[in-house]
Amino acid sequence: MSENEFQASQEFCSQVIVKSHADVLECTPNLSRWPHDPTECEETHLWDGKLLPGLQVTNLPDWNKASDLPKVLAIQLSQSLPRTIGFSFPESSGWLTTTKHSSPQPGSNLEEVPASVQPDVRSSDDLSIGNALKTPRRTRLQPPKDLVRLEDRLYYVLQPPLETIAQSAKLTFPFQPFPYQMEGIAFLFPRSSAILADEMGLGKTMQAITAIRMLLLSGEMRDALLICPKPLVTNWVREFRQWAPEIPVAVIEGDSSKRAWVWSNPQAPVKIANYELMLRDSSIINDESIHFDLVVLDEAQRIKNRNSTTSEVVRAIPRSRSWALTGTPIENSIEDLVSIFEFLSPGTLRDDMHLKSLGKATRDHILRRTKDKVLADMPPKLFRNADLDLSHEQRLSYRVAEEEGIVHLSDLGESITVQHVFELVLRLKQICNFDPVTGASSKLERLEADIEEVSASGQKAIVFSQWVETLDVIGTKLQRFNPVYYTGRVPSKKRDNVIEQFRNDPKCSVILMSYGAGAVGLNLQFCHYVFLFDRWWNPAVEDQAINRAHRLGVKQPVTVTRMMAVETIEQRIHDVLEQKRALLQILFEEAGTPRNLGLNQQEIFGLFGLQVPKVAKAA
Amino acid sequence: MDASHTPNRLLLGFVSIRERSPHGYFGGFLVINELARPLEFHCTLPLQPSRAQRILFGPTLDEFVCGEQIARAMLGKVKTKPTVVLTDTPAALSVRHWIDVPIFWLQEEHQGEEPANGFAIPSQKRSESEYASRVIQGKPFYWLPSYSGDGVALDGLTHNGVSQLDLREPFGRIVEALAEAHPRSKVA
Repeated sequence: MSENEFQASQEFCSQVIVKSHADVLECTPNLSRWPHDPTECEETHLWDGKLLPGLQVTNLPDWNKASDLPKVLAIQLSQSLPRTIGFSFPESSGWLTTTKHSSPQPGSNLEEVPASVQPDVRSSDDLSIGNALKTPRRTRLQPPKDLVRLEDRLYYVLQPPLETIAQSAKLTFPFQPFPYQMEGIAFLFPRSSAILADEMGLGKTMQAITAIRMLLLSGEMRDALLICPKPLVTNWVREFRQWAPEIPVAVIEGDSSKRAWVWSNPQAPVKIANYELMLRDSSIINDESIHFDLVVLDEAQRIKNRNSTTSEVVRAIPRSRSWALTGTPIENSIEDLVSIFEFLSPGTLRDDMHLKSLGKATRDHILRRTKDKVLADMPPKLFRNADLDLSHEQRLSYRVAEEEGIVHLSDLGESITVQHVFELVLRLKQICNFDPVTGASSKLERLEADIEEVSASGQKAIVFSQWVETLDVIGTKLQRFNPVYYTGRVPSKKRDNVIEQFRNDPKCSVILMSYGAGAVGLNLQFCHYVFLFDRWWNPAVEDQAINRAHRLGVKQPVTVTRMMAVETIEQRIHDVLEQKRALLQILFEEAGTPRNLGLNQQEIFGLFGLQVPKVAKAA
Repeated sequence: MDASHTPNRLLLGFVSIRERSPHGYFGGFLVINELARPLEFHCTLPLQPSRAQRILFGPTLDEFVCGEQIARAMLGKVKTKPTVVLTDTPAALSVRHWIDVPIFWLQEEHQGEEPANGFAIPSQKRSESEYASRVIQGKPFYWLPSYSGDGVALDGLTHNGVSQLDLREPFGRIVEALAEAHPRSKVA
């Protein structure tokens, strides 16, 4: 301490001047109030009747030689420095350069990135994420709640904002990600188990790819396996080219020897496989030499049945991190979510958990955003209910089928099963589409008129049905609009061509899709009209279908026409589902997860005023 | 400090000393590399000056606590010696008497705002004119005038890479780390 003079506080000793030299305080005590016994002063640090913590009294005068001179007391201030806690963090060898990547081996199916698909860097001024630094936007990583050690938590707290990471690695993007997408990336980045459950169309694919890209380039991760439905493999490859062009991607396909080679090929840090193939390659995957730093499940609802072989094989993959992507983590019931968690973090959830406990256990692992929350300026979905009367022929056929069907169900007595009811429902729904005898269809008449209008305005439309045969009939009727088909009958390799034709051929105004084939993963935001020719059992599947068109990048409102034959089984199903949707909306807002969106057994029997038989209840 | 760093690398140190009532002073020191990634972090337990210190140091108490006590303790423990140290706490500049690394005060971006997590920067007791200063890319950097040669070290901050970094941003990380290490529920 430099030499200073201080006027001592009168609170302590009014008569003295204090002079400080190198932290030693000398003063003349107030004799009239000074303790008579010096040991008392040392023990209590009492000075002028005040308690002075931390002061040490030294160089006490020899009290036995008291003279007329005032006594002098030296007080040493503590010199100890405060205690510190320190952490060192491993410094990776540095970011891999984003401009070079390993060359594919001859004959391999590594996806080399041609120059033509390099990111569309129009101008570094408006596209480099570093530009975001000029704005206050900083997306920070937050440590997951299940990280306990302070050092581990601080590792993430002390990481730079994502924008800085991207800038320092000179990452470019085809377009500036939305803030909520950066938050999604920041959510995934530090988590070893996570569900990104954004509503369809918000860019889960881009968020997952960018998080993978950043983890790979920062050296936090060496490889990743992405598993998706087979029709979406090419979509993922395309998205990787766009969002992570420097990351080599290998698609696992071909005969068994080729697949075995790709599985063990270290050249590609990202491997893409489809669910169906996982079953065939389970022996390879379970080999001790295979281990992935990350396994990502796209459309993770595919493992909602935890007893399925697919689910078992996927859960057995040796891995360090597990992510799941799905817009519908709960399609039918809580068990769907529990099954996904058996992949992410086995044992975390149980089927019998109370909703509140469930929410608490999953809160830090699930990120779900909806379009209305994060994209206030996104063009809306406009729902239009086309409530149609059956044609005369359809009405006659319907009545006969329903009456005979109900009689048949009643005759079954206690042996009735939900399958019997389903069969009648499907039969009646098919009549709602077309009269089985004459082919008459009020829906098709309406659809044809609507498509005429859509086509005349230069727009394109998607028509969904649950039956491929129904789509065939529709296609015949709409032949003059040059429809293309996207159903389970179309081989996977040809599906991209179908989409490209629909996108690029101005004469092609309609794509006919089955819910099963076209409900997930496709980007058709250039299409602004969606027709649901018949209705799916589960609104979540319908939402998936609608969101093929209503997704990020859509420029206009999307008009969704829901066709329904009034006073039929379709209306009864619709009414039940709407009631449930309204109820679940409340629940969803409170608990963060919907409990059951489909029809349960009791509701299915109730469609015909039937009671669930005791046998079925017991089952 | 050990000089165990690779020559020619520009490693930046960031010191932030904050006050949170009623616990006292909290210090955080972060060393980052040229990619802004953290290499080392030190923090102190909350320090409450004694009554005698408050009386005896008077208006220079912050400089004593922030610079000579907290910053000195943290910088004394660092293993990766930074090239330059930046601080958002002017009272911490006095640590320069104890270390052989230039230290500069970079003013807060938004002064007078509600302190993050209750951690406030100790109020400035000196006029800015009492410091040596230099403006780089529109930002004034201040340092102790008795170390007139330190200003040269600022040239390193204009180099490629570092010039792209937001030099105020790491202070936010330190404050979040302090909140993580000293959550209110634990110290209250």
